[in-house]
Amino acid sequence: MTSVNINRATASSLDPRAMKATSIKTTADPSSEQEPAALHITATSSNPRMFTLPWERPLATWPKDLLANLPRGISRHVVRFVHVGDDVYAMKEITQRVAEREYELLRKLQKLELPTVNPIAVVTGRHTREGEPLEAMLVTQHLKFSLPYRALFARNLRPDTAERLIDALAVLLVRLHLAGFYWGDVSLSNVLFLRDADAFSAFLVDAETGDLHPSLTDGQREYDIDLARTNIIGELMDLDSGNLLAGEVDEVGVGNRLVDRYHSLWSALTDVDSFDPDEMWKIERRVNRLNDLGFDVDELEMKTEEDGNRVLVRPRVVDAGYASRKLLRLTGLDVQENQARRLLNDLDAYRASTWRQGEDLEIVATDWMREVFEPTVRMIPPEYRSQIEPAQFFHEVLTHRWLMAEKAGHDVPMAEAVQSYISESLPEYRLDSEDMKTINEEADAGVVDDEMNWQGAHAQAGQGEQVTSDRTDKDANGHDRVACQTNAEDQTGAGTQTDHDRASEEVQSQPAFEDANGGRSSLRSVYAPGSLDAAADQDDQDDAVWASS
Amino acid sequence: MAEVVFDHVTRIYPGNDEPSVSDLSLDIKDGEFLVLVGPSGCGKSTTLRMLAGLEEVNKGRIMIGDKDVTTMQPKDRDIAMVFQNYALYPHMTVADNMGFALKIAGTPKDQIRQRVEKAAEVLDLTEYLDRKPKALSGGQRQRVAMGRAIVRQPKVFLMDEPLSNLDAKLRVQTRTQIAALQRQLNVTTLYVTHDQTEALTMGDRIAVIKLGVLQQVGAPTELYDRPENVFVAGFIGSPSMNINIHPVVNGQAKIGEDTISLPREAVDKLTPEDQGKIVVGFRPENASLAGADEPDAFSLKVANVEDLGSDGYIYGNILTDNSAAEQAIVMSDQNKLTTIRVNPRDLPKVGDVVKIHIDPEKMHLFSPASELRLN
Repeated sequence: MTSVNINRATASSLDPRAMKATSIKTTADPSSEQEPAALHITATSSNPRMFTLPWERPLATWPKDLLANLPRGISRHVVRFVHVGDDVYAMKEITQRVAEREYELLRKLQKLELPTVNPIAVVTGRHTREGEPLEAMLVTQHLKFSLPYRALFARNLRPDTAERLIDALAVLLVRLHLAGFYWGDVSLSNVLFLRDADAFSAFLVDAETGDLHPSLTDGQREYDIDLARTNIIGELMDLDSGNLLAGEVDEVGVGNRLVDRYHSLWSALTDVDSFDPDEMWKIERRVNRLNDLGFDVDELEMKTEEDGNRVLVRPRVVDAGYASRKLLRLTGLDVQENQARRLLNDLDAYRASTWRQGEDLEIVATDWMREVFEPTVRMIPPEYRSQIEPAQFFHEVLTHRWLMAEKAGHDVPMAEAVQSYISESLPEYRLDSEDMKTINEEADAGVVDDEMNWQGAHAQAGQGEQVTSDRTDKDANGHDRVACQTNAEDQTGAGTQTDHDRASEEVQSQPAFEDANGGRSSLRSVYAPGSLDAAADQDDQDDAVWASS
Repeated sequence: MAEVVFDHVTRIYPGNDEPSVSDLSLDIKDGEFLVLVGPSGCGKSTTLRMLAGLEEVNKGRIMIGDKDVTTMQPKDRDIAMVFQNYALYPHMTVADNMGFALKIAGTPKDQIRQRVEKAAEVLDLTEYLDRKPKALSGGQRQRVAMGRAIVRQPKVFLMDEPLSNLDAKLRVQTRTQIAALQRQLNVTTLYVTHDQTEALTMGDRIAVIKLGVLQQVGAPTELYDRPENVFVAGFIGSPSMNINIHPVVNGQAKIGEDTISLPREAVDKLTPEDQGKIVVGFRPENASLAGADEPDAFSLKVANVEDLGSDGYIYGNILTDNSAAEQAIVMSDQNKLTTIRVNPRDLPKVGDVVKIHIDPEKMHLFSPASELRLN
């Protein structure tokens, strides 16, 4: 219809990879869109356990035993992490239109190999058992080892953490902008961070307001940057109000740093250089500089000025991940850019110390993996394995070993360094359950579209016993049962306990829930006992350890 | 506060032949709430984004007050995009959540407090100013987010489908709040939506846009009572207008076996391009059941009826004699059925053939060729 012309024409100039990204096409005419009458799941994964989830309940009331206790970021929507088989998915309750749009957009960004969370599914047509419609759900894969910024600030911060986060965000923003993505809502809250050697890498988690264009106007980029600055300063002021920020951090200074970092990176990547024809070596220097920044140059656009006296050079397509691609090729390890650089350096050192400079790097890399890398990361204690990436562990051990050697005045064997690191440094990274609870309570304080919290919460501001919704269910025997769901229950566990929950506990923590078909089933009947135990272990780990730096 | 003027503005996306917004001239008066409405892809969001500075303007210019902002950066335009997913900060009080952007801009403390208090009064948040978001309901949190835009006291508010990420129940509440708020604050507002109900209920004036071309601008009742073309007639109003093409015979519209009188001045405006036909539109509430032999009435075979208590609706097919020349073409979208509002105590049965009389005063006549209004 009306949109076709415009979209088709815009589409033709978009990256072809993005064009084939998704089977979901948000309706051209939103007025004609309708919630499907029955549950409808569009998914990129074929995880059958998706169908066993209690879609007929509002997300805020999902049974606690399905949830993974991971730190959440601030969101206006109800968000939960849910165990689905061996995976952990982030579920967000939003309107169908926004869910489908964001799913489609995230699929496109994935095809463009941009650092974003991986979309798993859109679930529409949800209804309560009484037939009341429920909002749609966007499901994304939880990014393993990642943390929201608030969790990073909760403990053991290096004083420059804020700055390192900003640097990561600037790189992310530049990469998104280069790909033609206008974000519309840049903030620390809409990003997840992975530790990357001594720096961080940032991943986009919220694309609700975004748009993909063939290229961005300066106005779009400047708007994103200005909004990012305001949001970052606000987020830091908030941490400061909560006494979570080291006293010497200048919030406005950090916000301005994003603007500066962005502009210098953007200009390094996109500026046109002008050389004399006999200065062509400068091209190589430019390419090396881009490689140092972690970007690959795919193509150079070169032209001479009309008088033929100057050559104009501009890198055409640049992409991040220079070192990580090299490491992947050599070792099969898929890690962050700075980690890759550190590992490549260690590989070089290994090659030199074993007098094998003449040999193929591929062969040396295989031996390095077997003799150095793997024995080291095998020593990660089991309780930390879901918390720290092997490459990050390796990097930190190397740093720790170097410090030990400096102190001792001689080389320290790797095994000794690992032991010392594990006992001295690793435990400092715990995020205790109290902090986790606080973070998730804070995250929920910003939710605006939880219907159950829409009116009158202030009347009973005391959290925990605040009853926001009464739900009547029938239990297996057909008896009516009133379940009082509390607002903070599933994070604090301190809310009014429901009959439902009590019943679950009586059967030795055998989690029971109503499945999507309205029948009752227990996890034990769905999951093998072994996998249930494994899931419980997982939960304990989630509670026990959260690494930060 | 300021007037906004789009002066012959065109936006063509790179690589496109067709403009997404074509030669748009529109002014939003000082303090006015103007709703830009149209189907998806019609150019309404592009229009808003040009005013925000997010899209380039290829031709024409945009003024805010007496300033030409056509090439100005977004942050220098003194506009506020409301509802851009403002986050609420858990450790900050409601007052700080609303005022922190002013603090960044270096506004003096007492002035910040003054503006925050004023906004809180409008938003009914005064007693919560020193509380944290945790102690607020979802609705109050939403209002705090609005407060963040209000305290900046921008010249213009921009709202791009602000209700689209709220579910249906919260949407109606927020809709009423926004409209009331805008009237209280009197800030020039451009509001973009695809939902004509939102447009009719909120706007001082509505601008309908289709394929990048402005169709009509006017107060809600003007658009409802006197749509200038077939598109506006069909787009505004719910249930929508019944619109059909009929042959004109002896100055009358021929509908199956029946004829309907047409005003002379409208028939006179028909041109050879109209090929002896006319577009007849009427709203469901502007027709009534007629007696079997009553003149100026047409036959409708009832396909479905609805009793809503206060109103009854008949959905049916117009009876034609199926000859090519007399084929009525249904242009409205009620599942291709003609809709009539009647007294619910007077509902015919499904399958009945009833006579329908259109109120001649409320008939909308258009040229089939130009689709423009004739009466």
